[in-house]
Amino acid sequence: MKRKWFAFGVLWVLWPCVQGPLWAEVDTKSVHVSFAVRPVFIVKTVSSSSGIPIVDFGWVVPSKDSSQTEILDVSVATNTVRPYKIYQTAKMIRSADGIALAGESMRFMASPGREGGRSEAPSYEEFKPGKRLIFSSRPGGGADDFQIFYLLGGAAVLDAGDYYGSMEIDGELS
Amino acid sequence: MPAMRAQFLFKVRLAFVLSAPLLLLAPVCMAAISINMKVPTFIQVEGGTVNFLLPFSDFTTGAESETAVVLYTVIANSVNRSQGVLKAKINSTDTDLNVQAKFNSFTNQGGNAALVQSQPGFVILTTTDISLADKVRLSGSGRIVQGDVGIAFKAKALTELAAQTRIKTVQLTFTDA
Repeated sequence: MKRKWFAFGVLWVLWPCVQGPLWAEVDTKSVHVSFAVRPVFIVKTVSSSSGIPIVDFGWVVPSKDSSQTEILDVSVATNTVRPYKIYQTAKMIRSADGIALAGESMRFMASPGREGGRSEAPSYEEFKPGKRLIFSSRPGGGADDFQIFYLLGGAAVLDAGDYYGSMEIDGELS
Repeated sequence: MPAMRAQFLFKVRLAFVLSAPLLLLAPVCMAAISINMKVPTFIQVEGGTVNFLLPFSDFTTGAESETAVVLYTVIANSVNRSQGVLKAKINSTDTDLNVQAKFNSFTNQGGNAALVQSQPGFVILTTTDISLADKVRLSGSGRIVQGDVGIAFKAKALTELAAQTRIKTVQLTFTDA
């Protein structure tokens, strides 16, 4: 009987050390967290053939009787409901010798969007330097995908050489 | 007070941590794209007539055959040469007659250079190349020749000729460099 009382006494003394105090104060702090999701509007382009943002015709046949097409896939990612417009700003295409590619040698057109956006260049037109509206979102905005077709040749014999040029595809929220 | 300060610092840190990914997603709406292409050198000359006849109406010395004009289509996109772009030669020469050629015409079909005669009148063809046409720049690079060239051929008797049929081969060379 004495042993039972001894064990009970030991437990009574050590219990708080093992489990912590049986009575503790509770202190609660409120933290206010606030954040904003910013509007995101991203225009991404990749070539259908290479998967990188480049229009590379490679070797082309210089005859006026042949033509070659390259396709650029354009994706617009946005979390806003604002309509937007997509522009193409082309710069001069020149050979290493400084020869400008004849303007009528390259043409382009844009397809309608898969999500309802409207093509502003629905048929082939000359690819010439400058800014050109090529696509408008549907009235409610939102993400969309469309393609730009670039057609080379079919108009004139091209000067021999390596040609380089550049352009920008950019978007503008309304 | 220290508790309030710690709370304030905690808020600042939390706001910073939460906003960092948003900075990465800041609106980016422009894509730069390169355009590349390689246009190889191209040169071609094709004759509209493969075989033609130069009939004589007389067989005496100095007699000349009828003239035959042959049209050639030429296309080239890297003609840097100006002199002697179009040359001609014959496979063999004879002592009793010669074959002569003359640059007759050039019709531009969209090139930015034209062909003109190297020398006026007919020239006697030999087994070595002789220039018939030079290039002149019209616009731009002046390296694209595309058009139809007319070359006139005739034969001349150097002695009295016996009745016969003789076959010769004329080679026309279009050079870009």
